[in-house]
Amino acid sequence: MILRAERIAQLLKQGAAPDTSDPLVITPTPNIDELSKSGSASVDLRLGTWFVSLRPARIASLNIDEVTSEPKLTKCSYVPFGSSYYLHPGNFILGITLEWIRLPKTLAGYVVGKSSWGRRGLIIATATGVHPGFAGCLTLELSNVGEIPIELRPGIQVCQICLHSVEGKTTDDIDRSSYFGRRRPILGNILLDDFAKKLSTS
Amino acid sequence: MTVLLYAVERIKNCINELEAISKSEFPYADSREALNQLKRLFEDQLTELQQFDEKSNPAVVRQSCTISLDLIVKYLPLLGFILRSTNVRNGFEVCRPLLRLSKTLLEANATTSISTHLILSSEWDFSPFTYAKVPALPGFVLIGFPATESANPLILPLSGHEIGHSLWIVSNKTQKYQSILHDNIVNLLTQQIDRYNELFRATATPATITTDMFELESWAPAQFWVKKQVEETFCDFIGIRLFGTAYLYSFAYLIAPTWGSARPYRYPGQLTRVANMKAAATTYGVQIPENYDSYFEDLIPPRGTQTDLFLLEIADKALSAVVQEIVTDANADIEKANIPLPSSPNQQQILDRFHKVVPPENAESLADILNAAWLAAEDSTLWKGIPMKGTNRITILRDLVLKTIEILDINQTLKGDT
Repeated sequence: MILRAERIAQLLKQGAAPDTSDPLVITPTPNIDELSKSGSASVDLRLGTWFVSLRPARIASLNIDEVTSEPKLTKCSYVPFGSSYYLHPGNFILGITLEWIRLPKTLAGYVVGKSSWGRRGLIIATATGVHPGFAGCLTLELSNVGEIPIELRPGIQVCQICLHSVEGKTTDDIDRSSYFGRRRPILGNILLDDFAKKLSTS
Repeated sequence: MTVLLYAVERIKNCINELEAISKSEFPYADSREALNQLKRLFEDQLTELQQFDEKSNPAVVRQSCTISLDLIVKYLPLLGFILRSTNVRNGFEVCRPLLRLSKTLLEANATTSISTHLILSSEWDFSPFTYAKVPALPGFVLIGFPATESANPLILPLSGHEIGHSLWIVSNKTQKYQSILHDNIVNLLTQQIDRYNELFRATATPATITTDMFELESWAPAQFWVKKQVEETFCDFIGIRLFGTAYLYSFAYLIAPTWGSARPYRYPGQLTRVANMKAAATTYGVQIPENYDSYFEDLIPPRGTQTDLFLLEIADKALSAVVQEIVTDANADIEKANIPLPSSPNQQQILDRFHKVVPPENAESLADILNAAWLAAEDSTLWKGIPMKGTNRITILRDLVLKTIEILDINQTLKGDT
């Protein structure tokens, strides 16, 4: 079940209390009063200061059989508050939320864009799931599918997270991705499982 | 090409390089401002060189060429340092909080009005480093961390030592300590006048030791070394007073137990340095990590002639006589800037949030964050119950700490502290 903003605000308030053992936290915390009264079912998230772009000239293609090191494949940029990053039509970069999110074991989330940005051609994320127990900043896959360059500025609200309750028994054995606990976007690796490997070599 | 043309070409190349570097992606304006100031310096030099012609006095021309080469020799390493301040290996989140801290401390203690700038960069040298006394860049604090550690916030407390060097300069400490160190050295030499005469094959007396120009020259190194040792000791104490226990941990992290070189004369012996830091920490009410002595071993004994070693012994004793005064002096400078000691309750609140893998929003200072970070790093049970894959705990802790520092910066900025 998707959580209303009012309920999210309530959980954020509880999460700020030091004695909450498995809190929901979004830091910097959104304005709780405004969130409670927003009538929505999500929390807006802001753009952070780190960006990663791909270096297309460095490799022939993304080879899924070998692990390509991030520095070979990507260029990392830091854009301080008050400065801008210009995303040109057709370009794709990784950004990151300014907020550090911590989900309790009982909640999962989905990151989606904001319609005002989408209407201007900015697509925010394509792999949007956030698993229970995740902590860290959320990587955003930003692309400009419009026809005019878009000025991105750290601190602006670019996306929103919808939270859902998770059904089933909660355990400590939660699948933590390699993106856990990060403040900068990373590419990560594409790993073939045994099933795919066997099919690939048959 | 004449020597003049060589000089003109060299300066033009520097200006071109400065222009190229200034197109880099600088995280903050201070690096670019430093480049602008250096560019003006080189342009002035170029103007001077270009005013010469066939009628100019050759001696004056050569002198100007020499000055221009000297500028390049002095400032070229600094250009590399400024360029490296753009490298994304650096933890840029710390720049503004550290600038605010530097500004508060330096501007409260400067003997003349200054405007503080900060450039945080990395060095290919495993020792935090500062470019002190850069005449072309007054007010700039230039701190370089070892490249391999420059994104590690756990060594950030060592910046307190480097800020200490800037404080030493802007508050004119050399002058403050000059006469007391001179008198200490003279007293010590007087007490050992026979040994001095034997080692230097001299016939000095307590009266001539301060009047005879040959004697003055003989023991001048002792005064030079003790001045350097006092400055390094003062900077350690500034680091302790600013960052508390976190400074002691980061110092140990960087250089414990010892390294394979002989002790440099400009530093106290390693065990002496540790003992002095402990004395300062005790005075300031800073908790000393358990068994702190056991982290360290002394450096290889200093190498040198018998006379050098004698003078070093004198310098060491002269330092020991002023340690308590330095403790008081460092504290007074920080109190003048109204910078509080790190707060244990706030550190604990931050640590509690770190345990939940959350960057706290209520951090009161950089020092509190870094002390909590060290408590977390030293806690072997941290996140034991959380399965993590693909990365290790210390990497996550570093990101968490840097995020916390960024949130501190945001809060300070929102409060109007730019």
